[in-house]
Formats: sequence, C-alpha cells, structure tokens
Amino acid sequence: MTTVMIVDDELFIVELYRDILQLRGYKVVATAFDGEEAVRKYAASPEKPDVIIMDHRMPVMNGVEATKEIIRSKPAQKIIFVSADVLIEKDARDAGAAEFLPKPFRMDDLIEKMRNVSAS
Amino acid sequence: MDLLSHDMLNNNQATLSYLELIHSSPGADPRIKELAEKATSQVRTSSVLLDGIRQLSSYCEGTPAQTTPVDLRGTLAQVTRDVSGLFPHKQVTIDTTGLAPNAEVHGGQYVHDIFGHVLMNIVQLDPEDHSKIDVSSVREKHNGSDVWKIEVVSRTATLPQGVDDSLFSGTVPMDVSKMARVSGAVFASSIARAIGGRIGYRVLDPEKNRGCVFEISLKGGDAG
Repeated sequence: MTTVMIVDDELFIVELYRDILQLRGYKVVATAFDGEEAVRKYAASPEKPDVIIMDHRMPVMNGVEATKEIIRSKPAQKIIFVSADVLIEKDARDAGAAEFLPKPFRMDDLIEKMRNVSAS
Repeated sequence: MDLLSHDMLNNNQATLSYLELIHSSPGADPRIKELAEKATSQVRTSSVLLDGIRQLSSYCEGTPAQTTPVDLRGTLAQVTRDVSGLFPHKQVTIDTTGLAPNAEVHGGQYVHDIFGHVLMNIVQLDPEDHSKIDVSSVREKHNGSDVWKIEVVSRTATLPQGVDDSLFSGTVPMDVSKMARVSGAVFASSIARAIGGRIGYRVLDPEKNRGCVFEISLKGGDAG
C-alpha cells in the first residue's frame, strides 16, 4: 500500500486529504502543519513515505523551502506540490517537486497525480 | 485580501472535494447527485471570483503587470475549455471565427484572466441552456500604437438594468451597489486597465433591453 505524508497548515485540508486518500486505498502515515515540522518529522522517521503532499503557504517554513530540504536529504523522494498560486509552480519544480497540482482541483486529478508519482 | 481569499479558496477546495465524494458515492440517490453537481458548479465559480480578488490585491500591492505577448486565438481556446468546464449543466459555444488568425496582445496570463471573467459572467447571466457567444477582433491604431479591439457578443445574456459602460471604463468612481451579478466583468475591467487596456460595454438591443456587447481593447503584441 502506498504511504503518504500530508503537509498543510489547515487542519480541515489535512483531514480532507486523509478522507480522500484512505477511501482510494492509500495509507496516511504522517502529517505536519508547517514546513519546519515536515522536515523534522521526515528526518526522524525511519521509514520514509512513498509520497508527500506539500502545501506552499505555511507559517515558519514554506513549501518550497521544505521541499528543498527534503529533496536534499533524499533526492528520489516523490513530492506533489499543491497550491492556489500557479506562479509558484516553477519554484516548486526547481526545488524538486515531481508534480504540481493547482487549487481548486478535482479529486480525480489528485488521484491521477498520486498514480503518476507512484508509478515513476 | 490576498490571505483572506487564499483561506477562502481552501474552504472551497474542501467543499468541492466533499461534494465530489457525495457525487461519486455508488449508493447516492440520482437527484442528490444532480444537486451535488449544481453545488459543485457554484463553488467552482466562486473559486474563480476569489482568484480575481487575489489578482486585484496583487495589483493594489504594486506587483508589476505581466506584459508578455500572447496569441489571442490560443488563449480564447483555453478560456473556452475552462469556462465550459465551470458550467457542466449548460452548453457553451464560443465562436471565434471572427478572430484574426495572427492577433497577439500584451498581458501574459492576465489576458486569459480578462476573457475568463467576462465569458464566465456572460454565461452566468444567460437564461438560455445553450449559451452562444461570438468573439471577433479588429486591429486599430491608438496614438500611433497597435491596439486589438475584441468584441464579445451574446444575443441572450443581459446585464441588470442600470449597469452601463461607466462601471467598466474606470472613468468614474465605481458604484459598488451596481456590481451585483457583474463582478466578474468588473474584475476583468480592472485587470485590463492594469495592463493598459480597457473594457467598454453596451446593450446589444437597447429597445428590448436584450443581449450584451463587451469591447475589450488590449495593446498589440508588437506595441512594446
């Protein structure tokens, strides 16, 4: 089963991802509410998640910076970057995100991105 | 404004996704599915408007406007797909055969946003199940510079009474009380002014108060 870490500062968005992903057969193994917490939890976890879903605009450390830190420690880590700000896509991909999903997205778009990164 | 609209977009995202879960539930009543689809359409439209607020706030904060030249025909094709997707219960036909094949205008992503907001607003105000919109263009010279004037015409969509060209031209202080139901087009006119263009408006058939014409003037791609 594909494992997922969710990084978003809004609790209801974290719960939304969890609801969608669990219904579609994915296992959420970790959550974080800002980029710094994500980097810390990621470094401390012995088993890395298959996929990370990363928000951009978060307190303490934003998604692009967190993506850079995580990719630095594990270049093959699959990260799906999600943001309403389409202008951030280039920065996210330059930081190492495998996929970019603009908000608002359809559920099937998220699942398609999950399949893409899981298969690659 | 930017932060508030960002948070509201997140709320919309959650609402959209839960509506999708209802819609895709195998045991859901067909009538409930239909209602969920209508609610989805409304939330998606709301998200587009919120995005307009974010764009306006970026202009207010002095973010430099994009000036990249874009192909008008290609942009309209993308906008047509986007707007049609917002109204799954309506048929939307946007006829662009009157567009010059070589028309290029300045404005980058903003050109997409201008036409997106105008066309979305027209479809919203069209009582017909099948919205038919004609788009045509002519090249003009204004003070020695190339300007493309793009006419967007609907014979059936009608703006509320009392709405006139002054609401979109920016030549008089904006009357917020008149913005109800035309906020998309008002957003578009603000974006157009930010990139040196303008939007004019007139009723197509004043005697019957029916139909609408938006004239969107944008700097030509080689205008510098």
